[in-house]
Amino acid sequence: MSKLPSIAELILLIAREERKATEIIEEIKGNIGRKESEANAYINLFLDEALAQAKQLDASGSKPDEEKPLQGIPIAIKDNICVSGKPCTCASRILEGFIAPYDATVVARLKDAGAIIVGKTNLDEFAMGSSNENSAYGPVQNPLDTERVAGGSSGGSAAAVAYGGAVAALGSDTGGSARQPAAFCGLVGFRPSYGRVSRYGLVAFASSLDQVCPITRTVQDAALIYSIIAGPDPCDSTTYPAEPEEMDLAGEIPEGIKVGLIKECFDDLEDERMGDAVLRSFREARVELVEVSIPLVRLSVAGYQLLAMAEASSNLARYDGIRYGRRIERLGLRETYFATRGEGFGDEVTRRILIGTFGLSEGYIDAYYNTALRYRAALAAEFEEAFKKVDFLLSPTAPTPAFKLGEKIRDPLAMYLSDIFTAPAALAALPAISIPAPDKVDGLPVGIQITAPRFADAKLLEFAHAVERL
Amino acid sequence: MQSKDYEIIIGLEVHAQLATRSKMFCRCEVDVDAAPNTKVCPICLGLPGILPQTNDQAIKLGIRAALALGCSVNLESRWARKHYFSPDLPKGYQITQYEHPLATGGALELPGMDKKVRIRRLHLEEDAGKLVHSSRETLVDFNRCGVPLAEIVTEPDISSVEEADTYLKELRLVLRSLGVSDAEMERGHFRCEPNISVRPRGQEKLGVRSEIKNLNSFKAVREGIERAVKDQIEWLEQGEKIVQTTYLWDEKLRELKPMRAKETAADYRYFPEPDLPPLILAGSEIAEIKSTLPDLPAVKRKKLIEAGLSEQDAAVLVAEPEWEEYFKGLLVEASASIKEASTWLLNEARGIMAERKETLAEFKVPVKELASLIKLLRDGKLTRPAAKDLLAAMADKGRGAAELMEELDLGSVSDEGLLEETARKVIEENPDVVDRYHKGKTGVLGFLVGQCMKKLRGKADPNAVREILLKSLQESK
Repeated sequence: MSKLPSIAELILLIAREERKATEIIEEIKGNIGRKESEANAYINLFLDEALAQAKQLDASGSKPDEEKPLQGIPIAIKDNICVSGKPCTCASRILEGFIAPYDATVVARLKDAGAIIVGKTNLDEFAMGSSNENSAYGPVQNPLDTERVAGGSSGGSAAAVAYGGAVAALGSDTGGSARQPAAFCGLVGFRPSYGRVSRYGLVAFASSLDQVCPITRTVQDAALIYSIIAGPDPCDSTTYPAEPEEMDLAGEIPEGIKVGLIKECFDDLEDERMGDAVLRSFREARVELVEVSIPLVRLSVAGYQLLAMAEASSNLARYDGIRYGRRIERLGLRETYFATRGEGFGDEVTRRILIGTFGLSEGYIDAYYNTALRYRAALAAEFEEAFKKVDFLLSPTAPTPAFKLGEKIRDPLAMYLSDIFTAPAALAALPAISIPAPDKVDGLPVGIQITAPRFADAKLLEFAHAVERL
Repeated sequence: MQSKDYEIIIGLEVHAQLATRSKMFCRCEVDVDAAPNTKVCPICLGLPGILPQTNDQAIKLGIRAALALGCSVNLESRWARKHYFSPDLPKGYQITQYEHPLATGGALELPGMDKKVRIRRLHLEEDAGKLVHSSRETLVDFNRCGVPLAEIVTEPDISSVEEADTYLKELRLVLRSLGVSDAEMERGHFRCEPNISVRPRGQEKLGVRSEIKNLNSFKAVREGIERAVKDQIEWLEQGEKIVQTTYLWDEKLRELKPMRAKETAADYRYFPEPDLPPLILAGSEIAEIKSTLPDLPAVKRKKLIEAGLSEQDAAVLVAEPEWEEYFKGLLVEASASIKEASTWLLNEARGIMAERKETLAEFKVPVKELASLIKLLRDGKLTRPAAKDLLAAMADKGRGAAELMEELDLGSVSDEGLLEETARKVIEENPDVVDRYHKGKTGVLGFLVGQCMKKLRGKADPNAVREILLKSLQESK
């Protein structure tokens, strides 16, 4: 596999005129030609357009600078984020034929920074899944081991970056959808604090949990993309009004850092090697490791699914075939609704809409949705308590490395449980990052998940950058 | 049993379209009558990935209405989603307020009825689009989709059709006078959904409710409620079980059509709108809006009545801003007294308009000309009867008062010589009457004035005639 340079490396190469924008696109094109048919990372590619843009940049001699820090850098976008004039399928049949008439705020900001959008990546339908097997466009294979999943739901974004089909990608993370595929593919997946990055143009799955996330080769790249896409957006009333803090990626772990191991996560690991892989670099580093108990993480999958399914049942109500997407016409409105939604959504999406609808129904909302809300508040309080004792919290990103294609797809509960370590940070609106551990398990990458207090995104990236270099 | 043996209990829900330039959650222009689907954007069309942004002006108007209705405005209110499937509801849910509305607990006094209707709540929400049906197909127009609405809900305090009618008219007036809503019912700016129940007098338990939708005029509201009351009493009389039902008013057939019964009632699955933070208001913000509230209709009416207008005239002026403006114009242009202005506008002019079936806007006499008529009358250049004739002619021909008075020769005789001459003649022709006058029967003066007026063909100021006659009588002694 041809390994692409990181964004930071590319910027230097372009600046020194050792690499042209067109050459980078050509390289990507070559990788895609070799790998894409297996990986199935992309739903739509815009390589000709990307090449034309790159040619223009080369002709004008334009290079990355303060104003256009990503000038000429090819980036892939998860296909649940709108790019103007391009289809946005969410890997669902129901959105067949839908062309987004506007750019998501994150896409507009990347374009403004000079990035070239190379394609839209595969995902679990409407970002619902942990293996990228729930896609109307077929499953994504892990480029590191084609018998295994790339993770989900941002499996396409992770696979594309992993095999060199893009230098970096945007994914989205509702309960782990960016961190887990990054971990499975040996990459960095950064979920910012809820509210740091605009969701405008990210097709909603569970609004109170969704965040756009960079999936990159390095923490430095994640920080660079984050610094471009983060910040308040008048189009998203849930964005935090302050500009993100400045970062200093010096690469050193500051003195006196205290890291808490989430006891429940390590205790529940079936394979001890996972915990060892996560902890090894820290044991040698000058950080104080302490065990911290956050008992409620054990319920995180149940709490997360109840909230996410309830919100999904609401967010996906708009797909009725009336205004856009695929309509299956029947005699009568109800019949058209039933046919369009019944055939348009895949099994997993249908399952979640049904459960979510039930959880919000009169007579059940208290037992399900409202209980989950109370759980969420209690979990956030446990995290807050933990952060009084430690600067960061540590766990594996997922209980196992990448599992095999087909291994869990028939067992939804087993599949949901692969989110158990990633769902808590999402529920508590905390920033969390997955970085590759130096050791592998059975030859497969393992993700280290570091979680920080809300809005300590800059500190988290600085720390993760230092850990990555241990 | 008679209908008087039953107690009627009515609660009203009103949806008033707020008079903003742009929509509730996007910046599309509010223009429901524009060519279909031309006032739309990804947000109000509910395209994938969009998020709502609240309209500050709509919130301000909502607060204005709430304060005018004596509600307490909540410093924190919240948005919620209300779900149902309909082709004119592009997101599959409506953004509204549910458990935490903008304002709660107000009241509206019913004019002339010595009754207050309590307001339970006022909340903000977005409108849906419109379905346009033809025989072959149904089309959707999203221009109205996302237009801001205030929903105003009463307590079940209304106990007759008349009260319901008065409440609605007064509420409409309040909203219009505040500039909160144009509240034109026929244009759907002001939609009313009553819920009605009936119980035998003395019974404590409430009756079963009927709800009515699609009432597009005050007349429809009256007829719809009357119909529902009549039906319910009939069912009670016949011992039938009443099922809680929502009806649609059929405008053509003028009858109620059942839409859905409680067993199949919609479950709207309300839950907090995750795309919008709670609406947090500062007390100072609310106080500032309160300080800019104009006099409410009730206060305006009171002031006019204190200034000498009848209750009815005051009601007309307050109900119709154009009339109020015309009235104020007369006070300024003619320095008219309240009495003069009300006589000439609300009695005379209004009578002529009624006869001619004209509205004030169609009335051909501008303020300036009615003012000059009043001045001519006051200066004795016109008699009252002549002034009335003149006004009728002005309304007919649309011409100026002075000009038309001249042309129609309606002006009063003000030549003192002629008046004295006339008085002298009348005294000469009526020696007996004059004799009685001198013997102290001063009551006959009226007769003599009348004789003079007759000779002058009514075209003199009777007061001037009286004075000259008195002088001449004095001299003839």
